[in-house]
Amino acid sequence: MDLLVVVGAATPPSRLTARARRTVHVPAGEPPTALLAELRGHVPRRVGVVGAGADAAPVAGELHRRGLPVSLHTDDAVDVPAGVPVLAMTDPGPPMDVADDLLALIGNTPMVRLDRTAHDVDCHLVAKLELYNPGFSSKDRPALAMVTAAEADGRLRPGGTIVEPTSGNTGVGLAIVAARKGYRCVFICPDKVAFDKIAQLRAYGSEVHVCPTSVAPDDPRSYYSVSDRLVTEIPGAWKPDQYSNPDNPRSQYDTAGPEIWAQTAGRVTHFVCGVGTGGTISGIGRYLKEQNPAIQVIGADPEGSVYSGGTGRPYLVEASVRTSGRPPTTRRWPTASKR
Amino acid sequence: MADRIEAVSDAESFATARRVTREEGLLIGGSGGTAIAAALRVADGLPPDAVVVVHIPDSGRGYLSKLFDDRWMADHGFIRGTGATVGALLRRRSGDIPDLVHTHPEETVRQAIDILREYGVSQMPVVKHEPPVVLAEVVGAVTERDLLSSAFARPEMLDRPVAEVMGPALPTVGVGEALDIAVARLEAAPAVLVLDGGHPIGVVSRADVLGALAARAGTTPGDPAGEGGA
Repeated sequence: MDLLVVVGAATPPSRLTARARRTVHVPAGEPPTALLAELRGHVPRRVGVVGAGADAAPVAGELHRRGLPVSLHTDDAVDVPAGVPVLAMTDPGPPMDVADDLLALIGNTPMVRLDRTAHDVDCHLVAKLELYNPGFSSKDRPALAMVTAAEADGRLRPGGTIVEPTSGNTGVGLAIVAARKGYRCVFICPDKVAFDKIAQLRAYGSEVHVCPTSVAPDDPRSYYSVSDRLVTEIPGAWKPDQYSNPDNPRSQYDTAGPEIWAQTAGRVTHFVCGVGTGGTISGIGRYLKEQNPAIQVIGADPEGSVYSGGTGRPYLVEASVRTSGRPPTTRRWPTASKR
Repeated sequence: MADRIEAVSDAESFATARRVTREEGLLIGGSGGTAIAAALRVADGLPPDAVVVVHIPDSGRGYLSKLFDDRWMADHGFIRGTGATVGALLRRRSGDIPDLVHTHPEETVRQAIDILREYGVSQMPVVKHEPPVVLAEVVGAVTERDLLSSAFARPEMLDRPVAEVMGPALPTVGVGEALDIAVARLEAAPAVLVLDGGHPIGVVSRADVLGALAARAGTTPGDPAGEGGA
């Protein structure tokens, strides 16, 4: 429908709000004068009115009298003019095991034993399959958490634009959340990111700027410089800043950590995780250690990265801190002097 | 946060991701390979009741044209062939040339010319760090011919940084690839950069390949028998 009119204090189901191009709220018990004045300029093709019967029926009747194609969604018996179809607000059938939207499918990923891979070891080796998220990566969790928190405190407002330097996975998560919630997305990627990942971001309707990896971080063409510039140029831009955003590790602490604890029946003794942005391992690791301080947390590090005392240099495995995050201590590449 | 860090090379990460995909039917990305390689080290020697949880961050679908592509893996020096490979050619070269003769973007043209002369090579990559470097740190290349023409036309260029005169980076070839792949790439460039496990390790020029072909044909005395297995 083009327009959903919510009358009074009703909370319509997402089945209705998600279908509406636009949702407006009007008070109960008075004629929708302002709304009617506005609709004269731009007549909607289909209008839904939703609310308690006594509140919503008069509004639906008034809109109908003005010639608008109205349907009324309410769970109460009502008396409305002929030509106004009355539909149930609450789906009357037995509940189906179907998610309300894709964002509800983020998290709760399965775990599987890796016994073929672990043929030479005695202990249990089990994998947390974050590739089962809707965006096929663990980064859907922080993406959803960061957007939800930014909406809650007004950093991201309706019609806003999400601008983030990302090598792919966080971008996909943000693109999914943005697609579902109606935000524009602009991403900045280093040029070593696989073509398919960039194509995936564009498939979700996002805009992608590809930057050279081989220039210094303070070069105007660099990943960092371009994203800083776009954030200031685009009106309504919000940068999630995954590397310093506390909602990133918090999302892992709040969701993946408890899932692993419950799925292993509290038997987990070691947790092995890529260091990446640090948010995943710190969030999950902290939760697990709070449950059982004896649990060992092991960071798996593509050789030579900052976490093992490297120099913040680029390398081939994607999705890790060396090229997707600003080097934490210096913005200059070290210059070599001897051969 | 971590109690300890396990460092895993790109080569081991990719090999592990490919093995897990084949053995478990689970298509994972390179960083999942890194995590599982580390988890296998952690799991080694643990008692049967230990439970090692490994975090698989993403799917391999985004990397089908990279680590799951044998061509890409060979080109980056992750897959070793046998016989007359680029690596066999590198090994046969005399020992007085360092593996990767190189210059840096901030060095002067004069310094670069001195390096070419000192090692008797005609071109070299311009890299941002001391070796071992990774491919993304290779920012260009200089050739004898380019340096000569710019220094001849404008002598003041001798004291300008290499970054101002360098050309595009050399094409690459994997260390385990067959010599004929290097030959094909040498049609368009005077030399190719050899990658081993993603790291540039040397430069092979047309002259090097010609030398090897001549040796294979038996026209060069003193060629070690069976070199390269050709």
